Amino acid sequence: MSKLLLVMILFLLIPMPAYAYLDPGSGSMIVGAIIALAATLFYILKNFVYERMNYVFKGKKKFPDRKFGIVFYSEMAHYWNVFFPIIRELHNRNIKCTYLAGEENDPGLECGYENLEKIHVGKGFEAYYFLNRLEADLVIMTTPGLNVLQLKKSRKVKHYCHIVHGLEDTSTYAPYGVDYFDSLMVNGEHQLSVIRELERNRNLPEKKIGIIGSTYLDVMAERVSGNKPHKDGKTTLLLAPSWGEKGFLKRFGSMLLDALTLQDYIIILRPHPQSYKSETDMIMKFQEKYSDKKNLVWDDRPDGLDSMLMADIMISDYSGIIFDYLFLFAKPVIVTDFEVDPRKYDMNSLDSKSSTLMKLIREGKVGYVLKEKEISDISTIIDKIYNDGSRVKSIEDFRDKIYCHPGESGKRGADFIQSIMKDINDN
Amino acid sequence: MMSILYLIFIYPIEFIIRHILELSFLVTGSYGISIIIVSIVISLITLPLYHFANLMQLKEREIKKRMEPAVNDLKKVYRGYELHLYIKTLYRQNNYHPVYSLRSSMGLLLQVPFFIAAYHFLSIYEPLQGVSFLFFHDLGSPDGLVSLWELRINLLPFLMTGFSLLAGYVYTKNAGTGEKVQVYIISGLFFALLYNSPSGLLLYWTCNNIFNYLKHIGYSFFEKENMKNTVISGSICNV
Repeated sequence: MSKLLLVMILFLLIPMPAYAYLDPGSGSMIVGAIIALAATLFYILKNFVYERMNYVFKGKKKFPDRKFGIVFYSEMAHYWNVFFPIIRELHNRNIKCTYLAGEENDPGLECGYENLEKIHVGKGFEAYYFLNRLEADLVIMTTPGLNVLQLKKSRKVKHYCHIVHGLEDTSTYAPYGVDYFDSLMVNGEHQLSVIRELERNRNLPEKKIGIIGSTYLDVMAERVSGNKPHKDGKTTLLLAPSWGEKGFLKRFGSMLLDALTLQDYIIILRPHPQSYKSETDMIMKFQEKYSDKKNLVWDDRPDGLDSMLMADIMISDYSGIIFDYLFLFAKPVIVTDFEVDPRKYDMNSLDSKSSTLMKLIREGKVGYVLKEKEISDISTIIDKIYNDGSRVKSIEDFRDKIYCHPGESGKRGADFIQSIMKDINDN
Repeated sequence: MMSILYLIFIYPIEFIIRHILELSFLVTGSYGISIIIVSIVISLITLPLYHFANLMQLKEREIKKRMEPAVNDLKKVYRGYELHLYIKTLYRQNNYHPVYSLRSSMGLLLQVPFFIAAYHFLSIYEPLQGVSFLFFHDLGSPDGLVSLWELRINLLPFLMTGFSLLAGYVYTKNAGTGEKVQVYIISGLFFALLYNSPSGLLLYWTCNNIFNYLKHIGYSFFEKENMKNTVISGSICNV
């Protein structure tokens, strides 16, 4: 009996010895089963802990406990311009809606439309706690990662709509960025085709998509039309690096700033708003290093339009702002050479492993692509580009495809929202 | 607790094995042949269970293989909470949950009582004491067939392990080195553990291992045929 007991214990507790009493196939399965059991338990435990985080960090804010109709959720203050043309159009059509702002300085909270209810919901888990339990007909947001990251789909929201807040396509979002939205409002065909390719590659159902144009670019265009570009003799450069690994400030900021500040330019340095949050040390280091340079001005305003108006040339890296500048002002841009790891983004699931604008930049259609070794010769390059209008003319080839329906985004967006509301009410 | 488990799961199977053995003995008059018949019957009974477990495991492997490049990419660029959420989404999009991997163990778990019952029954079955079969003078004791000076060496454990290694060789032909080494080490370990077991029991396991060897040859043949068919149909599609 003791030997039988040993065999039974071996079978139950130790995967390996059981192997000899079975055949190699079954033995291997036992080993696989035990590993799978351990991995599954670990996965379930981890999932349980992570899911509870949403409850632990619920914050102290009291939110209205009632049903909402059309809701806009703006995670950051600078997204107000993305929503504004649509909100204005809905207001003109006498349609009531609610604006949930993540930041206290969001201009939307000061909006005087009587058809617009405004609520400050805070940031991070505090906001997610409210949003994950929200009851509404329709929620429109720029925040990607719905039902993937912390922001979950509330069971009491009938429809989620994502509005793409830049001219670049959604393949530059983190993985699965827009997969769980019911619909999207996009700028142009290039964004639509990427979403469709991702849907095909992931066997996802087709989402309702409306091409409405670019809301925030329409707002900027309205403002540009009432402002004359600044010109005082000196060449003004707008340096607009993006944040993270691809940002040129991080990659070779000192080298570029050293070379430029020696020249007789006016330099406006406008880091991405996220750099002030995620790369604070680096920003402070640069501010200190160049504090005595009178020709270098830092711009941390939420809106970059004033700086764009003043600038003669923009230097940026792979960032959507270069297209805003090109399409609004038709002035030259210099793009620092960049490398993007597609594994971090949805583009990893595309056949091309690249985004629309990335391809345009690499094809040299957007502006001069500056190599690191050319930085020491930057002033010659700037002079050459400043006097060469041919590159700017070439944007007409692709501008109409990227920035569709200029000036119509508010109307088109409101039409799209009304069509969704009709679908909701019909069902 | 063990007695209750034994009564529920093992005893009914032992009861069946006893009857097959005794019925075979009535027909053949040989306990040796009866043990071989028991081995064949038990192997045939457990074959569908093995087949079911194998199918489930192949399906599981296929889904995991399909997701592997994406999982590896995510692991290289994300960590912690974010990585967990992305992998969870990848699983969701592939209709997979780690819990499903346990499904493939069900067929296997059903096989285990058969193996334990056979082992227990043949280890203590008294009528085998002093019964000879072919070269084995006593099925109730170690065979001791080879004499080397004063040392008596048992032959059946070598035979059993030989077929176990052969079956393992066929099964792990396309497996990694780790799995291959595992097969050989465990075969060696159990050679040592069962070396002094009664030859009746070792005859049973040797027959089982021969059956397993043939089973794996059959499986590997059918898998090759399936692959051929897939390639052929694939090439037709491409044309």
